[in-house]
Amino acid sequence: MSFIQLNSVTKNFPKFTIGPCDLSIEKGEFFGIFGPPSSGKTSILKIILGLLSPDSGSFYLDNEEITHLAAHERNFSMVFQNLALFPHMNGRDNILFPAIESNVPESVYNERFDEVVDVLHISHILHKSPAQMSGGEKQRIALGRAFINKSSAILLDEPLSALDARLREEMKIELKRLQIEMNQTFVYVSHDEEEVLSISDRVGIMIDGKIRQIDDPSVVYDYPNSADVGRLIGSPPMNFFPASFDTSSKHLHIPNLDLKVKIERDDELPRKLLAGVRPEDFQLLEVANEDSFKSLVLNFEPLGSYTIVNLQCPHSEDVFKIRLNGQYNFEFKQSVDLAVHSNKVRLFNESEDLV
Amino acid sequence: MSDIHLIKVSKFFDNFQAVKNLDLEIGNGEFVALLGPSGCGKTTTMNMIAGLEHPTSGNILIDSKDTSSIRIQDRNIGFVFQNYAIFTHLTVYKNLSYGLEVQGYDKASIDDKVQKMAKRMSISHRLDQPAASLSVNELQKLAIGRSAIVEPKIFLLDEPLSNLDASFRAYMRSELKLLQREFGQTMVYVTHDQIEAMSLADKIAIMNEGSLIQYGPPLEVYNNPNSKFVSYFVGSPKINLLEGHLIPNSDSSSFVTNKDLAISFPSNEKLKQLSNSEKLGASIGIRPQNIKLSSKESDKDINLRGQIKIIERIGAKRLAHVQVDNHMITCIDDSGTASQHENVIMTFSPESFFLFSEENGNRLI
Repeated sequence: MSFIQLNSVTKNFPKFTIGPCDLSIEKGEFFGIFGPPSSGKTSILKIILGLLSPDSGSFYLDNEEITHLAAHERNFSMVFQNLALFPHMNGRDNILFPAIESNVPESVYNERFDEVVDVLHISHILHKSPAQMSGGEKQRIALGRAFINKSSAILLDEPLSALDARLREEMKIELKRLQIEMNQTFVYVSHDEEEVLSISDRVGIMIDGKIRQIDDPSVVYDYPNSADVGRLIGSPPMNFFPASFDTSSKHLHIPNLDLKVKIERDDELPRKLLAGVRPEDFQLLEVANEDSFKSLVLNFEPLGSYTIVNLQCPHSEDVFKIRLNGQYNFEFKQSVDLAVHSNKVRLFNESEDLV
Repeated sequence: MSDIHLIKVSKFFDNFQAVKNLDLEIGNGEFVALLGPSGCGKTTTMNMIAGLEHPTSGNILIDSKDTSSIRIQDRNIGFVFQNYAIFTHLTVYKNLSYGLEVQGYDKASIDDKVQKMAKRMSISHRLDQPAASLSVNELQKLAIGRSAIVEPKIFLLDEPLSNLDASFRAYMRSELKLLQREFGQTMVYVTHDQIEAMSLADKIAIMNEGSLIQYGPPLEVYNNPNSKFVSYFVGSPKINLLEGHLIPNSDSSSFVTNKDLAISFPSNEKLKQLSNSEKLGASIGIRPQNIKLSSKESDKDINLRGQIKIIERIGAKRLAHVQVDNHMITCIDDSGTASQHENVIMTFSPESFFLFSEENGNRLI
């Protein structure tokens, strides 16, 4: 059994049901939960924390069942989306609050305090009140407060969403560094797919109350187990095209792209398929060849180190996106030649599962 | 459509100067992003263009007419607020039709325009529902539709995508780009997200602490930042910045960081010109994609040895955060095989870094 174990946990709401969910989180893991808004990920966090009680299923912490144990007895810490710092206390008092409340001896918490302040680089802001702190500073104090007692795990609910974009990138790495240095188990929830996948050891993808895939971020990225998951992962996410497979010639035909790709596979494939191709898996060619297809450029986004191009499918109204390394310039409705390698095409059957 | 000129515009709130002597020209039909961190003055600037605030000094001209003589309602401006400001007591239909009713259109024309805009924003199925019942994403579409439907000459958007989840933000970026092409208005867009600015704008105006730092097309600002601040704020992933001292010489110059890391490189023309100075407080900026991970040192490049502390996977890219002495330097792992704790050599060309003055942050090389 894993350190944090949820078995067939369900929770019913008037218009929505979560679960049954199975979740196994290892000790010392940075576990991310990603899903679109209202997919149930914050509710799962609340069930772990004890703010919500499951309607069925069981929850184990370190082999002990705590399904209906009160939240304050569970020894988890939480960093909330709006941080929830005590506005009438300074940085130091905010951090020490949980330790003092739970009657930790002063000598113990003082030592821990020094360790936490050192790791978070916050000695210079401890005297400030939250109103005097910047977004990033408040974030660090909230983390300090979560770390002060040695909790079994730290739960983080969209902890970076209140920060400016640039600061979010910096704090994301800080969080990862902290988790490694303090050897703590993190359960991290966010609607920002790039953020969750970039720093988690493993990630659970939640859609409509169910956990659809749990794996190493690289596996989820390269091999989403369903088109639903594929549509959520990647910036921009995977493109999907209806396709058909001819068993005798082993050709995959994608009519919207006017493209036939030879698929080197020996297993049985259904005739009707959905073909998924990531934006970065298209190649821009200088000259057309027998395996390439043409598309028209609608617009492009010059992002500095890479470029996203929005293109019109040659044989439909659909738009698809490609991602090119480097800087490019295109004209509106410019025709370009593109190719895609067969081993980069992900195939999904009619129920939209990966084959 | 309209052009906008800001001439030496300053704004004080009591003793606090929110905008400092701003000169900005926004051409007819241009999409300009005001980009900067929280508190830089971008929203105050946009509020002054709209007429919601008055400049303390300086002038704002719309189509060469000074705005102090134009009432807000006559400026022909559409405004999309960060918190939408939707009329929650009205239906989606009424939210869209309101501005047209005020302008005196007849019922048939209003209905035609509302149906078309709802279809354009993919909210036709919500027309008869109370606006309060819409999801956050739908509210955003309604807010944009409501402003666009009266066909303003100038469209002002204040961080319109910041409340949305990441994937919908990316989708709306594409939509906004298409919208702007269709409608052709002059658009001013406030954001703290440089990816949004790079993706959408014809020109980016980067602001910090009330001042305009640099103004130009996205790739110009990215490839030729005029200052340390711009190089830091624009570009994903973020640039590596090393602070220290430059010791220029005619043949070979060296740079020693504040944490005692020393690197040397052949002096190019610009460095030779600086070689009369003894020691120059400066920063070196190198973008992660210009640093390679290698198994051996390179003669013509600058080499740094360190240990990988964190591997960050961002979709198609893998970033390695490497500890080099007391510095953390980020580079891109092209091979996809680098691992945590690995000892590595990082190489970059002396042509690929920027040099900024410590005194004022301006670009030296």
